[in-house]
Amino acid sequence: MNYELSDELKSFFKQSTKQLIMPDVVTGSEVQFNKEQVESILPQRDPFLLIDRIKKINLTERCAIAEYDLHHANDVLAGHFPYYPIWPGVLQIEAIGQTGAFAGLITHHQPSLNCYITYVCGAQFISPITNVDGKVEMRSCFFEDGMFFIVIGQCIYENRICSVAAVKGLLHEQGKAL
Amino acid sequence: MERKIIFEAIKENIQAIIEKTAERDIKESESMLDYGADSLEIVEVVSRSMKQLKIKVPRTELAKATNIGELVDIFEQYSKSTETT
Repeated sequence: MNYELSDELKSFFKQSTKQLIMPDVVTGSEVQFNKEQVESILPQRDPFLLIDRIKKINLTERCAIAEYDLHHANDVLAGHFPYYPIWPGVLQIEAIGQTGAFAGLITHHQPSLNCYITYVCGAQFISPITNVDGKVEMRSCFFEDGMFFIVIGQCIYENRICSVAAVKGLLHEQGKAL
Repeated sequence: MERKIIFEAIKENIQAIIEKTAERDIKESESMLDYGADSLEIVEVVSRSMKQLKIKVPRTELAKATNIGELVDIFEQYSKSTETT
């Protein structure tokens, strides 16, 4: 099956393990879209909406920077793992996917569309996300690939790139069979 | 665009994506499901073929195809409209 990335995207993935996506953007306390506005674009809801705010978006490049408050994940962190909480890698992939989906969906003027992941093309977990009270930043970009889309993004925690993931999927009407 | 070119592109992608079809004779009268494709593989074949042939067909139109021949017909129709615009 075709879950391989093109050479150009492979190189973007590799580069993202070392360098921030949207490297020129230094984030502070700014909020470009609050949670209510995020919910108007993404169908996920708590406890599975892994974005609390969008801090910055580049509509031309279709890249976004999102933030998630880890205290929302207390129940998960209580079990993964007791006495040594680590925010699970699968949730990092999901958060990267949601951030990229936001960047993609906001540019499609069709509110009924949703992004459905069909492949996890790759993921690299570089450093664990451990502090239960911290904030995780996701930086993701959305790319069109024929009928599919690809999101490549990263989770950043305490100024470290902790993970990079690439997912592929389909844009589809919400609630309709693929 | 010639019908033969469209069929060859689709056939090539079927053989690249759907397992155990490399040596099989691909017929227009058959559906990709007959060759063992799942729904994602069908989307892959269609997506790659459209990219290769530089054709863009809306999904609602693609859903009308019940076999490979009908998919070729739709591609042919859209390639003509692309050529004339």
